[in-house]
This record gives sequence, structure tokens and C-alpha cells, in this order.
Amino acid sequence: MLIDDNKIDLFVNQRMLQNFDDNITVSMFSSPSLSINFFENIEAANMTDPSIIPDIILMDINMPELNGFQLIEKFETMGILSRYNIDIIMLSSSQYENDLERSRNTIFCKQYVTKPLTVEKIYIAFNSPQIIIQQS
Amino acid sequence: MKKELKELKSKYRAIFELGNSASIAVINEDGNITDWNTCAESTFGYDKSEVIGFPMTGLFALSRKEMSIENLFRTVNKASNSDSREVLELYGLKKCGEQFPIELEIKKGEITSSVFYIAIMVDTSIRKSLESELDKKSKELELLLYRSAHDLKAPFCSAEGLINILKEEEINPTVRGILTMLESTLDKGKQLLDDLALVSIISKKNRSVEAINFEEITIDALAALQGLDDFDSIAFDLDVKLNTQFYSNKELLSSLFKNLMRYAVNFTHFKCQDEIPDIRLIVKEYLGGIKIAIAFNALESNNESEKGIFDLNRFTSDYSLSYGGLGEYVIKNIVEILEGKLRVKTLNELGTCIEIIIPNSNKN
Repeated sequence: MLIDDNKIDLFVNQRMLQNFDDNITVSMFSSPSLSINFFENIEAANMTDPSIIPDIILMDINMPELNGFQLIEKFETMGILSRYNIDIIMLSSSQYENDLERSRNTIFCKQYVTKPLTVEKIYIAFNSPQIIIQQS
Repeated sequence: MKKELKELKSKYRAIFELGNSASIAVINEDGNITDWNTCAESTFGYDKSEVIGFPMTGLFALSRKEMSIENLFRTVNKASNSDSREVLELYGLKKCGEQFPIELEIKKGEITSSVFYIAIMVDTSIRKSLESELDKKSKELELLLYRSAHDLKAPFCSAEGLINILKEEEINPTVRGILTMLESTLDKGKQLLDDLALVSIISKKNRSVEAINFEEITIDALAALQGLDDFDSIAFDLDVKLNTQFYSNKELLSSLFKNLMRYAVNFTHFKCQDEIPDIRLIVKEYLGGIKIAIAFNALESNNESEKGIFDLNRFTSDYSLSYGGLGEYVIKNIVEILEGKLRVKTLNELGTCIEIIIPNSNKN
């Protein structure tokens, strides 16, 4: 699942994920509220189909309404990250130290990757057992 | 004799009441006030009649209240030994109970075996408030710079992502060449934004100190310059002579080298087509730290050695001056952050030489 308010970045990130692996199904959300609605609908319909639930969420940090960290908190309040065992990868164009530190301290945040996303960065992010900060 | 004494008394009174900026009090051996000027009246709120016989230390905030005048005198003069100013900064206490910052200076005198003290007190409330306001504004500006540098990177990264996708397509060599140039331009912009964020004081708390590998730093700096127009037309002579390990912040030093070399490339003057200009970079031990010297041929007009190339204030008064870009600001700030020194020298045979001295952080 990709969550980013910048539609160009959504396009680039989706393309890179498909370049990385053709079999990956990518769902895209251009605002935090749309992604929350998605999970609310799943919960309401009591859907358990694993093909609908994402394994990984790649989300931008700086977004209107809720930033990436607030969105993680919201998801956790809903209990979806632990219930469905979803990992988060933070995506950002900045290397703002506060964001790096916050990512290290956020349990569900597995990786921090600086934009633009590339196949090499995806490979490292998906295969590293512990949090690493991938900068350009 | 009586006339002279009268004249002297008049002079003393004139000096005593001079101006409105300093409160002056005369204190006897027991620490009680014996005289008090009008400025002191308005500053502390006590009339002269109220304050005569009042203990001097009662005019200060609680921590100094218990002190005797002799102890206070010693404290002031002890403080003066360390910073060569015979003043002590403390809080005064007004009649209404309000505390305010003052600078206190005390002199001791003796007349016919009787000791007396003169206390000169300057209300620093306005200055302190202006200093605090200036500090707040500086921090706000630094934060703006830091956040702007980070936020401006977002469109650069999006464009870079699009270029990555385009490069996967089958495109003709001309378009591919243009894409490479576009990529290099975006890289330069991103590097500059990173440098600006790095030198911002907001980043200060995150700066770590580690052993520096100068070979790695100089190779990185050269690699970063490869996109510059004149890079291939310049001969680089790099010479690192260090026997002891140097410790510093790697990111800052790396950025310093990149910006110094970029500056030298940008300002190198090509005298004729056949001549290959030379940029010489030397790193050597100096007073426990290092001295970085970079020499290059600059045009006469850019050779402003003693005018202060890195004094950005000069641009505010003379817009006609040639400007080396924000790299100048980055170099100047990194040297300041690393508590180093920077100077520019003119060398007859090589044009301009920028010398930077950086202390070894391991020893601090």
C-alpha cells in the first residue's frame, strides 16, 4: 500500500515497486483519510481476505490532515497494524533528523527511505531485518 | 584650601549626578548606603532619604542578600579576573519587589583609615530583552532555513524519480544526454539544500565526532565536482600530510571540502586555452589540529583577499560584487561551527589561497 499526497511520487513509487517485482499488487491512496476509510471498510465488513490486507505500507511523512507518524498512531488506535502484522516504511524527501529519530522510536516503522524510491532501495528495505535509514 | 575643597566637591557631585544610565551608590565599611544619585532613585524606586543607612546588599535579589559588602566586592573582582571586565551580572531588587538584571561594578577606597565602597550599577533590562529578541529571531530564521532546505527538496526528488522512470524507456541518445544533464542539475540543487540544512544551528545537537579519513573525503569531494563545466580542464594536486589521527564531524568536513573545491573551480581563471590551471589542496597538521590550504588562480577582480571574500555583509552594501553562491555561506558557517579560523591570502605565483584552521575535536 502506498500513501502519499503527491501524485507524481505515487506514480514513481508504484512503478518502482512493479519494476522490483511484477507480482506485487499495489494499492494507492493520495490522502491519509482515504487510507483510513479503506481500513474502516475492511473492519466494518469483517473482511479477512489476505489479498486485500497489505503486507507493507509505504507512507510519506509530510502530508496534510495527518503526517505519517500521526497516521501510524491512528492505525494503531484502530489496532490494524498489530492485528494484520503490517510493517511500515517511511518515505521522505528530507533527512530531517527529528523524523529519522522518530522513525527509530516508532515500533511499527521498519525502515526510513529517502525519495526518490528506487529498485535498489526497495530491495534493501524489504530484506533488512532491522531498521535502517536509507539515504540518497 | 577651602576653595579647592569646594571645587572638588562640586566636581564630585557633577560626576555623581552625571547622566541617567548608571546608578551610583557610596557605601560605608558596614555596607550601608551613605550617598545615592538620582539615577539610582529612579532605577530602584527609593528616595535618597529612604535609602541612606540601608544595607547595600538589600538592593539585590535573594542569592546576594546575605552577602556582606566586602564579600560582594571580592565576588565582583573575582569575576573580573576571568573575563577582564570588572563587572558582575546579577539581579537588582526594586522597592516594588520587581527583579531586573544589572551589571555591578564596585571600587574600594580609603580616607583617613576609613574604608568606603562605590557601587556603579547599570540596568541591563532593555539590552537583555533586545538580546533575547535577537536570539529568538536568529533561531526562527535558522529554523526557516532548515525547514525550507528540507521542504524544497521534495520537488527535486519527485523530478529525480521521473527521470529514473524515463531512463528505463527506449530513448534516443540526445534525449538521454539531456536527461543526464537534468539529473546532474537536480543533484547540484539537492546537494546545496543538504549543505544549507547541515550548517543550520538547528542541526547542532546531532553532530557526532569520529576519526576522519581524508582520502575518502577528498575522493568524495572530487566525485561531487565531476558535473561542473570546467572540471576536466583543471589539474588537481591533493596533498594530505597527517601523522596523527584527526577527529571531527565527518558530514561537516565533507561538505567543507566539497564547497571549498567547488568555490576554487568556479573562481579559477583560464588565462589561455593551452594552459591547464592548477588547484592545489594541502592538508597538514597545525597547532594540534589541521590547516587546509587551497590555492587557485583567480581573476584580479575576484581576488579580494583582504576585503573578506567570506564576509557576506559586503553584498548588502555593494550589489556589483561577484558572488560565489551560497557555498560561501556554507564554508563560513562550517568553519564557525567547527570553531576554526578562515583567512584568504594573495600569493604572487598562485593567485588566491584560502587557509582554514580546524581544531582536533578529540582534544576538546
